[in-house]
Amino acid sequence: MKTLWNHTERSRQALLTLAVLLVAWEACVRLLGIRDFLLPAPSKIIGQFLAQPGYLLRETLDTLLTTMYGFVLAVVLGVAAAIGIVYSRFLDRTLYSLLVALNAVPKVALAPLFVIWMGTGALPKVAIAMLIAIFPILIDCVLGLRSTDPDMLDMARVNKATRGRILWKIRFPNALPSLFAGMKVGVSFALVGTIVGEFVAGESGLGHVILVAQGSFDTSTVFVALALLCVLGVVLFKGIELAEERLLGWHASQRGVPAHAV
Amino acid sequence: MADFLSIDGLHKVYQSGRKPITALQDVNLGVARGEFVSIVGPSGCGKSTLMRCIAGLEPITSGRLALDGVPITEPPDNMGVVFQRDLLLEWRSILDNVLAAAEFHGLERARHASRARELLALFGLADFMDRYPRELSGGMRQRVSICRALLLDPQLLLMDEPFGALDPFTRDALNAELQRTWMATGKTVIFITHSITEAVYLGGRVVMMARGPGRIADILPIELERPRGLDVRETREFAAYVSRIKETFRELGAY
Repeated sequence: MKTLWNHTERSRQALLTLAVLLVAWEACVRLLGIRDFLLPAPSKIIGQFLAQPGYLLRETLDTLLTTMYGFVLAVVLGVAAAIGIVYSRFLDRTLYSLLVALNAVPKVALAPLFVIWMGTGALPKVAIAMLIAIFPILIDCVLGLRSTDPDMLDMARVNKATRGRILWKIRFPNALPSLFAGMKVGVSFALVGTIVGEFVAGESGLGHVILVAQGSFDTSTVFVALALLCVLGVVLFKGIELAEERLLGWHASQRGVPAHAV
Repeated sequence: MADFLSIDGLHKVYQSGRKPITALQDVNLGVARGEFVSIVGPSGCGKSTLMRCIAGLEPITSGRLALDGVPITEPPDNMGVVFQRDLLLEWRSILDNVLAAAEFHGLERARHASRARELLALFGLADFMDRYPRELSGGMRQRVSICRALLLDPQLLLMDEPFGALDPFTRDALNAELQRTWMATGKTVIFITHSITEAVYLGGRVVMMARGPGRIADILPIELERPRGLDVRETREFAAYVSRIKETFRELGAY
């Protein structure tokens, strides 16, 4: 029991901070008499969620699925492209240079174009989520694949390893810490992309909920959607972190002493 | 009998910018099957370059370099290499690290598992097969890398300053273990080091290399009886070999 208490210390501290903030928020709204359509009190927001939980959870699930599709697609395409770039000088000069330049474009601005091309279904949303998420994944994966210790490659070469075996048995495992760093950024980006997609091509999802609620000055519902998005973002991020802990037990980042302790 | 490893008039020139740098000049060395040859010299004498050439990792500029009569143009099949660093794969268990040698060669793991276990047991690592490299000390890690190099039973074992990073106690223990393994298996070993004591203790011959440009300065046969206990290093004969090698290096201006 004692250990469980110790293990949850971080979460308890975070929850306590959150509770204090919510109480302060509630107090401010009530004492200063702020009107609901400007800033609803937390109690009002929770009430709004409890009034229509089915609808809101359905839309949350919709956003989650779109984000996941976009993210998984970004990982698959990003890793494949990274391997191509690392192994082909031609792809490095063309695709990689181009992608780095394209990365500087605010990709959100491309969203309307996707709607023109793909209509208003799930497709443009997944595409936008994928497009935004793929950059950190691809760039970090390229970096990871390239930063293989040259001595390690010599060791593989004297053992007659083919390029394929070097890729799967040395380069790829070696790139995993870096790939995970990219995926953690990427999964949050995918959620951003999904919401942007729902704003411009909205028929469903939390982005659509926000848009509809805004139209009727239903600020409480906007806040409910934001809270759900917040939860969604944390869950996605934690999911990647959990997978990382599982797969990268061997890596220093998973065992190191935190900087604030030294 | 023809030499197992033969090096004739080997030159190695690096093109660094516009100025060519001669790393190895006219190196001639024949190594018989089953021989233990130590190569000793100061940093920059080209001993690591020579090892990389023999390992087939570096193309030679001119001369002849052959293993068992076959010119070395790529890493030879019947060769194991132990590097300065242990180069273990952190994400694999100790047993899997040893078996990596088979996997890289595209051989079946299952066929080599029992041999891997035997080797690890021989080097005192029987209880550590399922551990991960990070859980082992530097000496144990280098033992694992020796096991990996020996897994496919190569005829030639190249060792490039393998014990350079270890403390003197561990180093002594590994020197003795290596001599025992060599005597038991009869492999041909080329052992590169910057420790004169280590070179004399292990070598049947000590090749002294000099720098600017890298070349062989002298070759000294070591006629100490085997097996050599670690205390052989306290004998007068041993001291005579060491001082002779030091004398050579002093004349070359390495001190």
